[in-house]
Amino acid sequence: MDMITLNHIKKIYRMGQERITALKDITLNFEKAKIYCLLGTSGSGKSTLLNLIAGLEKPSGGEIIFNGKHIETMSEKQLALFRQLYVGFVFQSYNLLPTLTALENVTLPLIFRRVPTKIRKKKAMEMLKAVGLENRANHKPSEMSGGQQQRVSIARAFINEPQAVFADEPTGNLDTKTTFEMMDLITGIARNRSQTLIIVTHDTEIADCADVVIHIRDGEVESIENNRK
Amino acid sequence: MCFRSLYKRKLRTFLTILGVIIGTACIVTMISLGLAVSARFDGMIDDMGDVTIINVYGGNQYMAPAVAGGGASARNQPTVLDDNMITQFNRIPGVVAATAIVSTYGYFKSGKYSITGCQILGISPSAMEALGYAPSQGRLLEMGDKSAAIVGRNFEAQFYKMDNRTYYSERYEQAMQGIEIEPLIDVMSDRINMSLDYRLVYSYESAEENTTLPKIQKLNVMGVLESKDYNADSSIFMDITVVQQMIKDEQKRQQAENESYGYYSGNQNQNRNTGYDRVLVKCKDLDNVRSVSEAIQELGFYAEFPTQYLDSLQSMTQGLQAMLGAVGAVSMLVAAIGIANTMVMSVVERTREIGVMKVIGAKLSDIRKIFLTEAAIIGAFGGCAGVGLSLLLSFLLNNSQLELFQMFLGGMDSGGEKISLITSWLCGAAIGFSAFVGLFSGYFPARRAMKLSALNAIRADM
Repeated sequence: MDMITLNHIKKIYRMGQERITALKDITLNFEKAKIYCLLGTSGSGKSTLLNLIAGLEKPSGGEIIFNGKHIETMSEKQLALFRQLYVGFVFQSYNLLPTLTALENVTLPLIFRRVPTKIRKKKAMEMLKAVGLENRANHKPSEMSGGQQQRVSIARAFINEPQAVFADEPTGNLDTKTTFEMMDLITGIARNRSQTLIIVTHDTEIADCADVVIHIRDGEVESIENNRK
Repeated sequence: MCFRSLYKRKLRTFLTILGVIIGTACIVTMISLGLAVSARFDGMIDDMGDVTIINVYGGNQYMAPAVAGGGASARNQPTVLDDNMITQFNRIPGVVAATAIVSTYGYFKSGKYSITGCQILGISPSAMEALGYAPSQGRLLEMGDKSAAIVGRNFEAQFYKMDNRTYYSERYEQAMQGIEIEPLIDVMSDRINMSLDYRLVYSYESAEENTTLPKIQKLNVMGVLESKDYNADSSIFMDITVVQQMIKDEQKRQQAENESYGYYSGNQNQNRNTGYDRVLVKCKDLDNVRSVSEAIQELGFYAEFPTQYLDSLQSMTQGLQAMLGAVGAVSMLVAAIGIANTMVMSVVERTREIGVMKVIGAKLSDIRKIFLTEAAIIGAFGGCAGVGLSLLLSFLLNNSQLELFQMFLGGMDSGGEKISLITSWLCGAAIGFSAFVGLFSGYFPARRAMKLSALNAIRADM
């Protein structure tokens, strides 16, 4: 069953007088509980595509349907609620709040959802355990390595039990060994919970972890490669 | 969370709070000075005794200057403060009672104790209650009380044992300060002699054969008054006709004595038709006083009431208070700008954080709440510390030995009074106000944070 449907998506940026076409007419389907990889070189438009699906940017044309809802027409307020309920994010640069501890960073999405303190603490602790950081719960981001920070970030992305998790170059700042650990972790959790995971990367090795690899080039879908038949 | 991000920027938060502290302390101290002045006014009004009584003076030297229009014919005739006029006063709207007052000085002796000079007030018995006199013992004057007297609270304290070393009553000084003193005599039952002549108490050897002996009469005390005002507490009250007679008798006696020495004694009839020296007019309440006094002046008399100079004094201090308040308001405004600046910087600095929070599901209201809370914390903290600082300042002011400073700020009253008065509502209002200022100045930065695009915020380079 299709969970996310993109119909003739276009994205055009205006840079002063110039118009730069980032995405030209993309039509794609994402199924539930599968792991996708958007593979492409820098400037291919893969990150833009991810931002559109996640509701961070609005397309210049076309429609994005997530679980039957049109994202492209949502207001800022509705988008905030949509992100809170259905999606999780993992960023290249972790983006943890520097003043909060690991546990608090993981709890944050639950705070915004007004989950009672006791429940959210328990849930956050479980999530930290799942990423193997239960003994680092009270450390601040500045006291952790890059890999550990990314684990916290992954825990934060999954804590809301979102239907889809988006990861934009999640391993871009990590060494090879940690990269594979991280990929195992993130795909493991996604598969366990039958969540849709969409990873954006330029690394073909990472693409090997995905069920479906979508090659993007110059704002167009070049090919779709199904790894597991 | 808010506390932590404020703590992370300790120095900046501290400086911003410092601005609020100074602003709040400024306002609170200024207002406290004003409050102290008005408290002092209230105290002054209390000290004045009954503020609803108007003193009306007769006699030509007190004649009010002619006012254009109205009652001109009345003014052409000599205005006499007589019983007829008192009836007219009684008809003025807002007047509760009007009575003539005659006063003289008398000497008293009871056993070995004496009073060397005490005011005797002649008053019409029917007006006593209306004028606000109340007995603590016995009763008030009644119609037909020929020899009866009612004494003020501190009358007894004026008795002292005369000898060569003592010339005044120390007990009286204490009684006037409100200290309870042990009575020497029982005014209600002990025999007290009274005379308008000093020879009752000062036993001068007099070789003159022609001197007429002073008239001595027994003082029949029927009641003691409750404390009212300084003047009433120290006086004794008798029926006005009795006192008038006493004065007349004493004048006659003195005249006879003077004539026996061959002195010129003047016109015997000089007192005829000049009426009373003074009339007391009691008004219903303080609001009536001014209009009643104007009506009396229309009739051609000089009227005086305790609060007449207070109005201008009060408007002067109100002006002072407004000026001080303005200084405080300006410093609070500067503090508010400080808060806004801090919050704007904070928003810019935390653009990325805001973006992250938005991406992971923070609602717009959540973002706004975070920044408003931080601004309110700054405001409230500054407010609390500012109140603390102004309490300290107020304490220093009240206890300072800087006479000049006290004189400058304290104005009319001498030491012992508070220069600065900080009430609990002032503290509460100050803290509330500074928190509000914080919220207000945090609002626009918070809106700015709210409107940041999530994606641009995340991409922002830090």
